[in-house]
Amino acid sequence: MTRYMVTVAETEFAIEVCDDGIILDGERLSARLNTVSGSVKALTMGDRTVTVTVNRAGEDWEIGLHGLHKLVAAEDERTRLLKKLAVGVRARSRSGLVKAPMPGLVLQVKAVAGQVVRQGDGLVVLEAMKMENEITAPTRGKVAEIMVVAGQTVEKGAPLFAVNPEP
Amino acid sequence: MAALRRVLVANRGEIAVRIIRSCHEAGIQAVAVYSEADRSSLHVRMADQAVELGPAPAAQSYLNIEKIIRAAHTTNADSIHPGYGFLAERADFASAVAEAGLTYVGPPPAVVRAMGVKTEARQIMQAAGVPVVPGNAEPLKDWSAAVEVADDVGFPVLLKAAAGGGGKGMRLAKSPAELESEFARAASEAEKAFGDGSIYVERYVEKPRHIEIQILADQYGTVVSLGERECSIQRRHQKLIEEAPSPVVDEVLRARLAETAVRAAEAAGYVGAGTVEFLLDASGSFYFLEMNTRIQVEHPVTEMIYGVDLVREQFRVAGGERIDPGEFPGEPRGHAIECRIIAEDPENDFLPSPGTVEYLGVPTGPGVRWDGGVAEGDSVGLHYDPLIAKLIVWGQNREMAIGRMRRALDELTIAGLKTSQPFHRAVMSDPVFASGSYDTRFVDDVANEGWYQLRKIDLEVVAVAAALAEDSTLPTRALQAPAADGESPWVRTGRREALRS
Repeated sequence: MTRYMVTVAETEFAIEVCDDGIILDGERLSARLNTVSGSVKALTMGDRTVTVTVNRAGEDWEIGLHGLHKLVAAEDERTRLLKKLAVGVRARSRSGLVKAPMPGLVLQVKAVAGQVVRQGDGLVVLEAMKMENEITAPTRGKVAEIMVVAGQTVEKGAPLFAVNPEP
Repeated sequence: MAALRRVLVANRGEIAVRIIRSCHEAGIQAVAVYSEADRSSLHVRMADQAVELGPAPAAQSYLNIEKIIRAAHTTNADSIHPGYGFLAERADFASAVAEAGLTYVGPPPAVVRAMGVKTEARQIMQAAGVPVVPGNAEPLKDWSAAVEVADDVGFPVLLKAAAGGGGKGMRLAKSPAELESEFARAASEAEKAFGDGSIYVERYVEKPRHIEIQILADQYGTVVSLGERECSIQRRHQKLIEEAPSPVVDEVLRARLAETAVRAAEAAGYVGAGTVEFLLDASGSFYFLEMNTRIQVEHPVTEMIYGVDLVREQFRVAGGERIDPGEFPGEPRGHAIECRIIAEDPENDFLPSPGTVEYLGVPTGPGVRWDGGVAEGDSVGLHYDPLIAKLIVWGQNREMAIGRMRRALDELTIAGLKTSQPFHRAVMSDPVFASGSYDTRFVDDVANEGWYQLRKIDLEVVAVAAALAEDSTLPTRALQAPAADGESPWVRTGRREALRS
């Protein structure tokens, strides 16, 4: 039996997985995840079976239900403890870095390194599927670095720019 | 003019599939064209013949007039259907088709041109006594000229592409300052989408509904109207949900709209299937917006309530047949709704979500129609429109149609990319939509983050799925002794393997 702390949309669940089911909020339920096709699974929980999609998303899981997709962290207790020790470091290194939310073409770069920006200022214009999307500063601060130039094609998740937060 | 025998479909995706279906039902051969990216696409596999045009970018494939005409000649096609988008409203294309001795399935080139230049269309309609939105009828040189017009008709104003349609190059400006920044962006989008950056200005009609009338005209001057479509559920001027009839159009208003649309079509010298778009304001006044000289994306809702195949009618008109108004129902029957399933992520502000369709579980059952352009294994890329499919339902009345759409959306499973499915589910359960009293501001005013939050019971489902998925990755679990209930570790291993595949 393994005990998992599962976080979805800021809600935490303690779920114990045993051989024939789960214990959720102290309640024992039969539970199974069977493959329908690829990432499409039939999830049985007690007397209800629903279709879900299950995909790895880094260390998390992306679970799809009726077309909604939620990032879910499911950690057994040991992993969770180890992560807690590392989390401070990670949080610092990640702050203010903005990645491309989708693949596309960089149409315009509207800021330079060192520039002071407000939260919501458009810094890069990314064109995808014929629509122009403005990628904005996540926080007020100073632009630490711009990683792209106009005319460049970027993949989803490619770093675009970093803003060092300033109060 | 002779009946069509072999039609080249100068398009891709769902509309190419849709047109090929009507070809085959009418005993007409269908020739597909495709880009390198679409080599094994659904429309290519369905056609009787298929010709590769070139690389994926549309400019080198689906927009290459010369190559498309050549493809028609080499396959002995007698006609070309442009679908919508791409070359569908390009007068130079319609002319090139005619000059090549082929039949263009659509109106004459002069009509395509006149209605395509939105400023000219306004002038023609004004002359015919069709009401238009206050604004200017000449393309504007720069933003300062736009400010002058805007001051005249009053802010807020809409900047629109003279050559445009479909919301591209359209921007709202509430003040001269906004107009200055938006003018450049509208012109740049228009330039990219239509190769023409000309912009004109219209007064922004507050809380309007977008209502359009389907018309059908033969080559001998007969024009019939096939009722209205309600297209007010839009996001950034892109339609997402359409229904017919409109919940606010009664018989009297329908007759007035139809009469005006027929007058507009006659003024334009229209031939074929076309759409006259109107803005309907809260007081019941309506204004001509534009005329679309092609089949519309949302044509199926009209087909469902009038029992007609509009593409088949296009073929008949192009083949020189006469239209007998008596063969169409005078009144709509029941209610139809269409949801555009697009590869955009509503949970993430509708960001494009390209990817490969890994799994496609399509809804079926009574009253459900799926006009799809992709199959499992197809990729939805960045090169083309994000429309994956149109889900259409028919019901005896509006309430039944909404219930049916809700059921159909519950049946839909798509894996591999994110789609607008959750948006549609939320709208179908929304009380404002159910009431029927909504306008084009619906998405801005009514949609909210709560639409995409899970109920507690579904949060549990998602959490348990992740826990079970995580558990299946534990290497130690494969080494555990048989469980007390005697279940063999092989069974468990098999279960895990099934999950991984």
